[in-house]
Amino acid sequence: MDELDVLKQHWNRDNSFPKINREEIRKMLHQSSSSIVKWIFVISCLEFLAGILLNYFSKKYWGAGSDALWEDVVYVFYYLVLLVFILLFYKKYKNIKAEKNTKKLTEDIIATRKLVQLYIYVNFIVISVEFIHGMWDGWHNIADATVRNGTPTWIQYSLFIGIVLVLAAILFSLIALFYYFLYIRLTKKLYKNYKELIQLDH
Amino acid sequence: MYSNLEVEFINQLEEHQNILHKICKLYTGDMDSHKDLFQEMTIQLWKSYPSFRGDSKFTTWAYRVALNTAISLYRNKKRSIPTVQWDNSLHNIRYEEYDNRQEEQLRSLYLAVHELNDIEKALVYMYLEDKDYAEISETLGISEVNARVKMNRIKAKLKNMLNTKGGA
Repeated sequence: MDELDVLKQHWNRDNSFPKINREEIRKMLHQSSSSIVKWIFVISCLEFLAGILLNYFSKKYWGAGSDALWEDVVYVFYYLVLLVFILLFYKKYKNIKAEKNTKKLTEDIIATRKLVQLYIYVNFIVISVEFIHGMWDGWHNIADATVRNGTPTWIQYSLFIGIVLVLAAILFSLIALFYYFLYIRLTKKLYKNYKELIQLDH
Repeated sequence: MYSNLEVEFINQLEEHQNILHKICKLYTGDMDSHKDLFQEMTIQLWKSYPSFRGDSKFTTWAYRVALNTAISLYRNKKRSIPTVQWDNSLHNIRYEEYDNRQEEQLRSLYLAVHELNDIEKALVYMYLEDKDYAEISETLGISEVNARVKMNRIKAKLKNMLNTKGGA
């Protein structure tokens, strides 16, 4: 007899499970879910919020001096992109249904995750541009100050470049670490199972 | 209306809760994870219950949602799943029913199944529940032929695992 058939015999007779009563089930219904999708959703909402706040503050501090029209255009465009992302993401999130077949469900979750990834890339570019923009301003401020005060420039320049590089390194590694822990660890199992399903069909 | 739905759902789930327990049995290795997964499956079932129109049997619908939760949605709170751990209260084998040899065989079988990956476990679950290949293929979203091929591979893999352990 097949090994699995031996197991099947015991399986069908096996009723030795803890009995969960009605009250316990009712309580469970009102507990919060720990599902991957919920976490992707929560993290993305926080990201959207962080993106908006970051832009608001950077505009407040950096944008105070210059009122260039192109900056306003960029910001409006950025918020429009953000809005499109929020709408698309919500649509995708709603599309995830546990009743679908496993492959389709996994694909839907991965598609949602990919959309969030795209959003992260867009944010990354925006942050980088702002960083370079800030650096450019800083550089010119030093240049202005040195013209006024006549102090040696090379120490200040190298100090400035050094600080900027350290700051950039810290900032980008923090962001990378953040995404590694939040997403890669979160969806590792999902990708593994998806790969297995794809392999099965080839 | 809402509370009627809730009562109806709780009635159904209470009656068919073994579906969930059996999935937990394959996917978890200790009582805490068992309860954790059971709860997550219950939540997912409840969330999709309004869309369950009754055009299929509750059990057919429930095992699919529950299985999908175990495979795709569930996040184990623990860092790793203890696959070798054997919790007797969970894998309760009624000792009086079996002689020692059978008991040992069953124990090794469950341990071997625990070593399989999530997709393989799903196939084993459906096989043990007597689902036909059409249903297996529909549930996982793979072709019927591939489901059959994979099932045969799993059987060979289990046999191999048991032989290696038995021989060592």
